[in-house]
Amino acid sequence: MARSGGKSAKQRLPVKVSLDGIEYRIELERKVYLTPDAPRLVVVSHVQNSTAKELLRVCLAAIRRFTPEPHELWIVDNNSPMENLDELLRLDDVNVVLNRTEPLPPEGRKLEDGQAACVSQLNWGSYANAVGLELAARVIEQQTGYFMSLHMDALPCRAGWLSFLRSKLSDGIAAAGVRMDTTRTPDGVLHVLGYMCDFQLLKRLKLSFFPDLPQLDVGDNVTVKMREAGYKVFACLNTVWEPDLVARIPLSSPLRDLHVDRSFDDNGNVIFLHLGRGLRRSSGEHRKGTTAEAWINFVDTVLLS
Amino acid sequence: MTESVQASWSRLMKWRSECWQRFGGVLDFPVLGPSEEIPRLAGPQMRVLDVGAGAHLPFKKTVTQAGAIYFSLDADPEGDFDFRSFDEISDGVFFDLVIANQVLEHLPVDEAFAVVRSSHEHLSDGARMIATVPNAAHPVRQRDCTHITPWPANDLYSLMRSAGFEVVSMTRYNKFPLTRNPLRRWVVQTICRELRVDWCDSIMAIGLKRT
Repeated sequence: MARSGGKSAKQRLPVKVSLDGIEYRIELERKVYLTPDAPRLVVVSHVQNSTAKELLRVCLAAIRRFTPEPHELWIVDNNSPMENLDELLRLDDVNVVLNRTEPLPPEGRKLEDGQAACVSQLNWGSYANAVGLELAARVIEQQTGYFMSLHMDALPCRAGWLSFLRSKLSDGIAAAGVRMDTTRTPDGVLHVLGYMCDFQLLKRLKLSFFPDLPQLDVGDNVTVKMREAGYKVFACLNTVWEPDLVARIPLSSPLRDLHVDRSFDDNGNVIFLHLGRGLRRSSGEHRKGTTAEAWINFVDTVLLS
Repeated sequence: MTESVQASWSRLMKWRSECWQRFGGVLDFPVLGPSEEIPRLAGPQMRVLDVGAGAHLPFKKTVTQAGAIYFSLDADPEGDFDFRSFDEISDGVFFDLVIANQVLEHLPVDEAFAVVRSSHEHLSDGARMIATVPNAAHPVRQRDCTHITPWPANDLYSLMRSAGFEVVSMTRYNKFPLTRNPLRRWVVQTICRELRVDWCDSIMAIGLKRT
C-alpha cells in the first residue's frame, strides 16, 4: 500500500534551473506525491565515499522510522559520483533531485576558469548547501505549506517530532527549528541542520537560503528576514548550548551518553540528534567528538534495531 | 459499557447474530494466528502500529522483516514506546495496519471500545486492524488476574463492528498445534464439541476500514 494520498511513478526528468547567475542541470526523479499540506522534508546530500553513503542511509532510515505523519521526503544531491547514488535511487519513498552542476559561488567559478582541477564544492560547503535548498524550493509543489531543511548528519529519534515542530508554526511564529545559534547574530538564528518554515511566507517575502559570509551562514537569512518582517521563530532546547540539559535525560536512556547535539520537545523528550561538530558530512572525515562510524553504529543498533 | 456500545442492545444482538451467520461458532473458525497473518498484511513502507505492544515488542521483528515501519503504543512505564497513548498521535497520522495483540482483555469494555475506535480513526481507508484476545471458550486461558474482560468471539466481532469496522476474518489459534495422534485428536475434538470448549486458546478478528 502506498503512503496515504500518494501515488508512485518512476521517471527521471531533465530540468534546467537558473540560480545565482548560472544554469543548473538537474534530473528530477519524483516518486511520492502528497497534498500541499504535507510538509516537504529536504535533505541536501553530497556523497563522496562509503561513509557519507552510510550517513545518508541512516538519516533516511531514521526519518522513515520516526515520522508517521504524511510528508514528502526530498533528497537534493549535489553532483555526487553516480556510483554512490545507486541505493538512493532505488528507494521508492524518496523524491530525488540530482544536481549535475557543481555548485560554486561566483568567486569560485572565477577561480575555476584558471584552476578547474582543484576547485570543488568542498571549498564552498555552505554555498552548496544553499544551492540544494534553493533547487528544492523551486521543484517542490509551490502550494506547499511547510518546508523543512535537514542535514544528512542529523535525524529525528522520536515519533511525534514533526507534529511538534509543525504545531509551533502559529501565533506569528513562522519557523521552528531544533537548534538556535547565537554565534553569528546576537538574537540568534535557526540552524539550517533542522528547521521548518512557512513556505508560503518564505516565497511571499522572497527569502533566500544563500549565505552572506562571514556574518550569515546558509539559511540564516530566513530567520533574520522573518524577524524583520515581524514574525517570530521557535527553537528547541538543545544540549549544544546548554550542556546541563543532559541531566534531564533518564539515566537508562542510551541518548544520555551519546555525545552529539540533542534537541528536546516541551515534555523533555529528546526528539532530534545532530552529529555535527568536527564532521565533514560529504566524506565522513572526522576531527573531534563522536565519529561518523560510531554515529552510524548507534543509529543502526539502538534507534533502528 | 460506553453509551456507543450499549446504545442499542438490539444492534449488539444483531451483530452477534451476524457473526454466527457469517463465521459460525468458534469451533467453525479456521485455525490461523497473527504470526501467519501479519507477514501477509504488512508490506514494504507500510506503517504498522502495535497497540499495547509490551516491553519486549514481540511483533516488531515480524513487522520489520516484512519491510514495514513499526510503531509501538503502550502505557507501560517500564518500556520505551513511540506513543504512550492515542492522544500523542497527531490527527493527521494514519497507519496501514494496527495490531492489538492480547490487549483488550486487560481493559474494561468502555476502554477496549475506545482503543478499537481510536485505531479505526488512525487507519487509512482500506487498511486493517488485527485484534487478538484469549479464547473465552478455552477451559483455562482466561484465568489471569490481569484479565478484566472476557471476549467471546461474537462479542469481539460486535466490538469491532461498533467501532466502524467491517470484520473480514474470524480465526482461532494456539501456540502449540493440536496433537498429530489420530486417537488423541478425536478425543480432544469430541470433548470440545460436547462441552462447547475449544483447544485453541486465542481468537483473532481482522477488521477492515471502509471508505
